[in-house]
Amino acid sequence: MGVSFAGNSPVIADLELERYGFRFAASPVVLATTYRDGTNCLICQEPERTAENFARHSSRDGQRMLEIQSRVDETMVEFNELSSFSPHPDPAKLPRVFDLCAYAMDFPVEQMMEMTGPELCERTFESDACRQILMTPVAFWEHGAPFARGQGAFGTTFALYYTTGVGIGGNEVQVDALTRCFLHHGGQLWTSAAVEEILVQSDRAVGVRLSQRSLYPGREVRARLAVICNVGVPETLRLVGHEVMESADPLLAAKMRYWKMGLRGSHVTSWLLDRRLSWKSADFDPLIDEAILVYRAFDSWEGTKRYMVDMLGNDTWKASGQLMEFTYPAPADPTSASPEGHTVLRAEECFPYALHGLGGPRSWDGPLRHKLVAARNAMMSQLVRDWDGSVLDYYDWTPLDNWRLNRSAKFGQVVGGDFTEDQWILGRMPYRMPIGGLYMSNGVWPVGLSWMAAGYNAAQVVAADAGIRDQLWWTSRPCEWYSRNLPRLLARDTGELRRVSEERRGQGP
Amino acid sequence: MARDHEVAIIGGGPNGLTAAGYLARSGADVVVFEQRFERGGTMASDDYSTPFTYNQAQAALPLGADNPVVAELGLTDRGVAFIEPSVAAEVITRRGEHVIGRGGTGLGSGVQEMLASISRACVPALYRPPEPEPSLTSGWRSRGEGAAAELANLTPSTLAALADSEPGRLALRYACAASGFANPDERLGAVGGFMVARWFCPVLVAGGSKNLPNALFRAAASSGAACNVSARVTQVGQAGPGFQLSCADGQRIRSRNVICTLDPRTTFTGLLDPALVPPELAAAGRGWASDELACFTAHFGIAGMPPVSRHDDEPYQRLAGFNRVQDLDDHLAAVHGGRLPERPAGVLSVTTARDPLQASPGPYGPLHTLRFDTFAPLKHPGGSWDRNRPGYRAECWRFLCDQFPALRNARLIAQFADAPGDLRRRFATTSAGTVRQGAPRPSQTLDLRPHPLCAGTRTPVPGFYLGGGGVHPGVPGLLAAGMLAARAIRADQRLTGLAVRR
Repeated sequence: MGVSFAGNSPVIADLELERYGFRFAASPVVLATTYRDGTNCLICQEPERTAENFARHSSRDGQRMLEIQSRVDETMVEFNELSSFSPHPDPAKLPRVFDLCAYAMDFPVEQMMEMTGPELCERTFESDACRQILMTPVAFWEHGAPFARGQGAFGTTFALYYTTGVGIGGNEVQVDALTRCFLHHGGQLWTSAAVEEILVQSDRAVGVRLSQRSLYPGREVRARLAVICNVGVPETLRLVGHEVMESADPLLAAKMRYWKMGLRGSHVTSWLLDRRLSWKSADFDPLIDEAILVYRAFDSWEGTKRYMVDMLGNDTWKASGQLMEFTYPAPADPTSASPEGHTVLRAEECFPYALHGLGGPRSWDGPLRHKLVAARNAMMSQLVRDWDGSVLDYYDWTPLDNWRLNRSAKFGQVVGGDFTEDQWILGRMPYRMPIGGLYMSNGVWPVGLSWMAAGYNAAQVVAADAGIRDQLWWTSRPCEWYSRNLPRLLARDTGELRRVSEERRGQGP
Repeated sequence: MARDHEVAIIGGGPNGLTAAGYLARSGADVVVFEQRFERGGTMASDDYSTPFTYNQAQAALPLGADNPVVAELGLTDRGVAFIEPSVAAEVITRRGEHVIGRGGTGLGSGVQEMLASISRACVPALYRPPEPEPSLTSGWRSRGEGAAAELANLTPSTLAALADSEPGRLALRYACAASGFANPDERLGAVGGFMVARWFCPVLVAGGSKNLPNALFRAAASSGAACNVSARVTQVGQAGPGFQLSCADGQRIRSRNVICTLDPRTTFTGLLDPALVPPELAAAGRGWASDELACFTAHFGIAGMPPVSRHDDEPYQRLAGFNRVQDLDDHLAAVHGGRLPERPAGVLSVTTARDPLQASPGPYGPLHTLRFDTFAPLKHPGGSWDRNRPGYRAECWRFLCDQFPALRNARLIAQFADAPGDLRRRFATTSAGTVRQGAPRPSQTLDLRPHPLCAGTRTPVPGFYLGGGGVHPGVPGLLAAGMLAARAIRADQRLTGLAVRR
């Protein structure tokens, strides 16, 4: 479970996912940060409500954020179309993408090009709290390298173009609807069917061979049109074979061989709670209790920058406890709570995988994981009301577990590769590979989140190559479905869960 | 506005999906409503984002590739493969390990013959409308399957007495309890005897049990069935020549026919409009008896080596913590009395020893998925299971490490547990915490399941059919009720077309 970024996606309308059972809900809060000093920061659906929250930290920051969010809303469709829902790397699209970001942040493009992420935050807001929320998604190492000039500033801006929501019944409903659509149109789907090799003949991908560890050991499956590889850069290279890739494109082969994935492995804890949680910072602004995506984002602006330096220095232990992403569907999805009112809160921290000085990667299986979870629990009791009394059970999984589960998530990296200066938009993998008939949809731009952008873009390229891109139904634009339906997406009734939780809070553990 | 369908199926478990697959392939316009977020019912598998696969009903399949539904719906082409371990169990007592092979070798030749006979004789009866038990067993005798009829008349106690060793008796008593017969003096009956026999013939679905309902779903959806999740039907009433289904989210759906896979109590005392329910069925629903015994099931994911048998082949499960039948009786008595047994004795399955697909290969392997079942009271005597679940799970792990020293060197990476009441919370139809929709006792099987008026899946309400575990045959994993319900509708509606199979 987690938060879904699907709202932006034209896929929902194009593929009629609601017809196939897709149900989606949104929160009035798009993204929130909560602080140990009892305050919070909220980016809300309504720019005026965001400004109201920001103004509690600084009236100047409130006014600036109102202007920024209004400009972001104004450019939402075009930005998403150019940056996310069309294939990259495409240098021709970048000038307009940068123009839009500069317009949104009210800086000249030339200045944005020279700014790091932290510098943009400092030049935009005067309060620590507002700087911290602006920095958070990039500090979480999504969208760009924070200290890279230009990339850091633009990456920080990109995060403002997200929408958030949850699939009703859990985000699996999104995959389920895609599956139903696929089967309805004649697709065939196998699970427990790991691929061992991408078959290349005469410089063309012609199919795959399944692994011996699969339901159909060693079986070859032929593909007349395309093989779309969604298993990430290192695995793609392994499946194709280094020599094959090198003969097709030596530079790309070298890039794939040294593709960086060790910076942000996910360590996740899921807690089972006996009630709906309430943040302590709700005293500052109660709307945070309606948020589905919340970050524990540092104690100060200086601490924010120190954290990013510690991450770059591979210092997992120092980085721990500073930045946590909480996803919590209960405020938006009434079905996410059990009949007794139990709910699940998921927290993710990103850590360097290597564990230098801590025993190396194998230590992820040892006492370190328990120490990290203990530290996380200690932090939670400072952020959430009656934390200890509300926790019934928990489990966690480390970057190593993540990799074990998902071969594409090498080192526990789930967004297709680190964001370093050389692995940004033009430095990501091409959708169309130099081997005929081979396409990628992981390790590309944009990141492989739940918004279905990379798959959508891969399909565009394959369809264009096959001469079947022009379809009457394939015409939706990003974000339009979301903005058209937002009132109904916000209308879920979770009052009963709130009542049960209040009752339980009154009773104590 | 209400939408019209030819067949609405309530419940997206294995039977509901089976019915959907048959009917959609026959050309019917089918819609399935599953109240949970996923299909597959109790055959769900989870990984919880860990490198291990956990199954709620792991070896609940009485048949594998020889299940007629598998061939008829082409499931092996849709991602299903079966694993049939050659060693069913190892009984570990203070005196050593006793190996019981597939089919019950090691229990004594008399018992083995009975188990084989009922496995042969019973299967055809489970895939056709039910007949009374006397007529069924009489037919068995006339066809040379007298041993099967004899087994149907035994109790757990008299069956165990036929084994030629104490570990054999222990295994038989445990198998009976696991099959719904904890009372040593309750007659097994034909279906009960079959279930006990199949406990010694475990079948796993490769890659996790959910691969089976996944394949059923693909078969149904590929033929045009709409299979909805997070869609709870709250009421079914008559509407013209068909029915109107009311959903929790306010939707109204109309359908000429309905197959309900929920348990009889829910179906006849809550779901179906009371005006449509004959008094006999309402009474049958109210009096429907659930299983009396449930398990605390703990799942463990480890890095390192699991226990390895000293014998030639790895057993599917290891029965540990009981030295004699009396120990098992004491354990069951404690559970019946609402107390925690002295220690969490039960059955350990090293799932990955039989199916490597159910754990990641690494890095830093080997990784293994373990499952441990121990009978436990439905309510925790010290308060709620919610507060005591992690503690009892830890106690299970300590017990296993004590019984299987190899585990002390393994690193415990992931652990989950279902307390006896948890299953009921996920699946309202499993009222007492087992995957069976009602006890399989003779008074609730064959033509009596759930009542003679509707044991053949047709009910006295024209167009309303039963197709889940609460109707004949009531054996989890057979997929027979779904197939029989589909067959009845196909005959009643004269569906003849075969949808194009993609």
